[in-house]
Order: sequence, then C-alpha cells, then structure tokens
Amino acid sequence: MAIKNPQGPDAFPNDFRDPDCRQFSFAVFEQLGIEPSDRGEMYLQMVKNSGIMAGGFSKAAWTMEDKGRDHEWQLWQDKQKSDNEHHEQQQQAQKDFQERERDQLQRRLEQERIEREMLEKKQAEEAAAAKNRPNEDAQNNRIMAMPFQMMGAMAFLGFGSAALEKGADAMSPGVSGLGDQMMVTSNNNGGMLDAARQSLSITNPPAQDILVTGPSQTTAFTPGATPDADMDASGTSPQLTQQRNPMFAAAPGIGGPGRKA
Amino acid sequence: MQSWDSADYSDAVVNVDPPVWPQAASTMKIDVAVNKNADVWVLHDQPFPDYLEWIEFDADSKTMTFITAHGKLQDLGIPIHPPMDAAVARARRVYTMYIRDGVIRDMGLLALTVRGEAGQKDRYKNDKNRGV
Repeated sequence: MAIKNPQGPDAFPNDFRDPDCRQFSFAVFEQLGIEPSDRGEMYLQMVKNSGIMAGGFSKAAWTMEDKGRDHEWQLWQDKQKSDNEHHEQQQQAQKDFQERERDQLQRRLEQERIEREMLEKKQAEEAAAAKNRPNEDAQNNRIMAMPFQMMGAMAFLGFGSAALEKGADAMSPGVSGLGDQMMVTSNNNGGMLDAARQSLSITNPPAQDILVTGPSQTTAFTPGATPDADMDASGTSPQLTQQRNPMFAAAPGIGGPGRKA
Repeated sequence: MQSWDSADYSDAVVNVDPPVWPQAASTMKIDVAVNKNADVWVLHDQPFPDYLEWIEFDADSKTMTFITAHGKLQDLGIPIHPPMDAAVARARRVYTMYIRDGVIRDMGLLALTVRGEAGQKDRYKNDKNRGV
C-alpha cells in the first residue's frame, strides 16, 4: 500500500478532517509497528495534541487558511468598531444634552432671580411711594363712588332687585350718551350739561359744538327771575319751594325712599 | 230748607293746595338735552319738589311738564324750540340728573309721553304696526 500525504509530500498532515489524512495516519502507525487495537487511541491523542478545536477547526486554520471567514472576521471587527463608535457617540450626545439642559436650567433660574429682585424692588418703591401719597385712596374712593351712587339711586327709585341688578346697564346709556352730539334747551347757557360732562370727564365733543337754545344764552340764571317772556313769575321762589317741600329742606341731596329725580 | 248765604263763608279759611308747582326754570338751573338717538336728559341743580312719575312733552305747544307722584304738575318753563322739539318728540325715555357742586348726586330714568299730532307722527312714523 502506497502511503500518500494528501497535503503534499513535504507538509505535516494536520488536517485530520480529510479522510485521506486519517488513512495516512493509520498507515504510518502500521509501519511503526503499533498494534491495530492501539492505533485508534493513538490517533485520538494525536488529534488532541495537534490543537484542533472541538468543532473541527483550529484557530490557525480558521484565520489563516479560510479567506472567506477571514473576510467575515474583518467585517465582524468593523462592525464591533462601528458599534463602539456609535455607542461612544450616543454617550457623548447624552452628555451634551445633559450639559445643555443644565445650562438652560441655570440660565432660567438666573432670569427668575433677576425678575424676582426687580419685582421686589418695584413693590418696595411702590410701598414707599404709597406712604408719601396719603390722599390717593381717597381719590380712588371718589372715583369709585360714582357707580355706587348710581346703584343707590336705583334703590331709592324703588326698582326691584332684578331691576337693580340691571340698573347699571339701564343707566349706562344715560351716562355714555352724554358724549354724543346734542341740542340743549337751557336757562343757564348749558351750564348743567357742562357740569355733568365734567363730572364724567367727557370732553368729546367740545362744549362749544353743542347747540344750546333757550332764553338765557347771554344772561346768567337768577333764581326767581323770569327766564322767558312766556313764563308767569308769580309765586316762584326757592324759598317757597323749600317751604312746600320740607323733606328736601331738611335733608338736601338724596332724599328718602321712593322715586325721585 | 235753609237758603245758601255767602256771608256764612266769607270769613272761612280755605286751604287751597294748588295742583301746579312753580315752573322749574324759575327755581333751578335746568337743562334739557337730546342727542341723535332721541335720548333726553333733564339736568338740574336743585331737587324737584316731589318725586317724578313721568314727563310729558306737548309737541304742539313745545312745552315739557313733569308729573309728580302725588299728581301735581310742574312745567319746565322754557319752550323747546325747533329743531330740537322734533328730536324730543321722538323720545320715549328721559334720564334725569341731579347735579350739585359739580357732582352727580342722583340719577333717574323716566318715561316720556308725547302729546300732539306732530309728536305722534314723528314718534311712530317708522312703526309699521301703528299705521299712522
């Protein structure tokens, strides 16, 4: 029997996957005078000592001889490298995000602190200024007294509670309408209308644009005098009016309950 | 039957309560104003002698009369001349303002009744249901 090394005449037969290599090994054992019962055990020992891995491939054979697997190995290494880089990038991005959030939080806290200090400073200034204006509340009360007066007037006029709730709305045209263009018949050259407009701070239209008709455009009003040739002046004096109306003489201003104008 | 003798009553004291108050224009400063929406204001510096119930305007005689709660009348005392009378004749309500020392002391809302054919025509000329 011719002994043939399947891996070449000068190569060491280390590829024991090849059936020819196993046959060659047994032929060598036979030439060496090893009993046939010991040749299998010797072959296993030789395979074990050769460094072949349990799967059948040694690392040297897997990396140095299999070019395709070497390529996969390189791809695997590239993938590991890419994954590592991606992981590092994610960690860096997360770190940057945390730093950015921390910076924004610090800036917001700083802005809030500045606003709080400005507000406290403004409140302190207002409090200090309020101490120097003791009459300011009184002025505000005077302004606010107007609606309450109107509501009180509605109550005196004897309207029910439902009407009283709507009182301000019912009276509002009577207040806002004083800013309209109007014609006036007057015995005091429109002075009462001017007083009403000044009381309500109405400046538009100007007073000179309001047409005033009446008997005393050029003369001042005198109580008891006859403002018009058509009038009868007999028995018309303020004293007589107060005498006939003692309630108003006793309580000038807003009188008792009932409907009064 | 006892005959009537005027001498029995010659010394009697008759307490007459005239149903008419003095004219408003002779006792107080008073303005009557009207705007383009036919809202009328009566602005006065003295309180009226009695509570007002409503106000009447005679479109023919151009006079305004205040009707008090106890049935007495008080004339405005100033005729409302044209062209203002036509605007007042269209009005249906009057705002009264009692102003003293530059402050509005009281305010009221009263109905306005318009007498006279001219006033009725002006007042209801746009009222289709009225048929005037």
